[in-house]
Amino acid sequence: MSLEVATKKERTKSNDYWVELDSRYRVQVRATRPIVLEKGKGVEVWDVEGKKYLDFESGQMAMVSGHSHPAVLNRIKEQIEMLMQNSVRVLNVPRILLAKKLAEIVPDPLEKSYFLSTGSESVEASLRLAKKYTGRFEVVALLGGYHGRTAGSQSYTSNSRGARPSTRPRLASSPASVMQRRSLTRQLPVSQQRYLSKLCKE
Amino acid sequence: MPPVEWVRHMRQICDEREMLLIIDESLTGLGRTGKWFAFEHFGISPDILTTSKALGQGVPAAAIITTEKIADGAVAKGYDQGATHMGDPFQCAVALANLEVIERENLLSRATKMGALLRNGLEELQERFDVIGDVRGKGLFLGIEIVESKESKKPAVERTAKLVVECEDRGLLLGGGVSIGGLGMNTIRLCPPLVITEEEISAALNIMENVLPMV
Repeated sequence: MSLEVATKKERTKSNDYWVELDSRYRVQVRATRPIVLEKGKGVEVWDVEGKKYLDFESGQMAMVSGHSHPAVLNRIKEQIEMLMQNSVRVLNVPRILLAKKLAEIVPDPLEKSYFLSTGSESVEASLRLAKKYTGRFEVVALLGGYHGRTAGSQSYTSNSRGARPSTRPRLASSPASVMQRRSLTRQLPVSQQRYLSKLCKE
Repeated sequence: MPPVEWVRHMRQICDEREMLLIIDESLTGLGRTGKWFAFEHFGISPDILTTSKALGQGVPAAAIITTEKIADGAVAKGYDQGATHMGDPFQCAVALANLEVIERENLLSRATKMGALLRNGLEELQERFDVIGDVRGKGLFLGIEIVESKESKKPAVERTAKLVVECEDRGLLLGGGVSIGGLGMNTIRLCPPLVITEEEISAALNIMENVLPMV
């Protein structure tokens, strides 16, 4: 049945219908497969046509406890009715308890947490923290590492061949005169231990 | 996984030069490799640890974890960090519930056990099919590398893409066949939720077994 003659209900049960809408209204990056997911449970997910898949990518690597875990869903429902957000001037109980829990699961001397929303943000924040604490600015990043796609985090991201495919120029958080002489972000071949020593002696 | 000695050497160099070691465990953290964090396999500890993705179990949540010395030292020097969602009660309540699930359901040991099962299956496929050049990873953070032949070790990008698409058509969603970060164009990632069952692992391996002769 063509999409034009299908009823609205029928259309919304079709991957093709949503793919067409997606191509019209979303910037076409990533998402290269015409699979439109609708729900998930544990390791399984279903598309809008009812086709079932085993999700071996865990969402985008986030669903360690599986999709729609009952205990997580319950806590989501409870907290939605309690409080969603507060201003930066005040505290909240779940944040204090989460920080305490994280301190319990990581080895000493790791102890204090700071919270954000995404991986890229956490990379940015960790670099700012390191710069502030050490008073230095140069960073050595691993070859083949992925740390995000924001302006700072992409400066430390590279593909498997070592190229940093990000939008150039990369981050320049140091005085330009220093940048001209030394590169801020250096790549480190994982296999070359000697290279690491050499790099740090410079 | 890099060699243990290499990682320890990196830690040693950082110590000697008073460099801070930041480990980004966005992908590898929270049980995925069989431990809370992958750095624990190396017997070292970072100065700053980042965790995200799995922390919020679908709700955007990330954390940096550091030592008291660094945290208090940086703040004393005027460190400030702000964001609209910097530990909302909603984000944190969900993350906490998720950590409790990981603990209560012993998902760390489950990742080790199920990871070994999946890995064994993948290694059996590797023996039978010349295109699987390598099986690697830890716990349920596993990957296979697709090559033209074991002898040539030449990366087989088109075969990788075909394998991913054919598996998807048969109901197995995989990560790979695209160039993002460290995931090479000929590497496929196999990282199911840690709650996976033996039956689901068998089903996934069956799909791959049927598809592999076609690529």
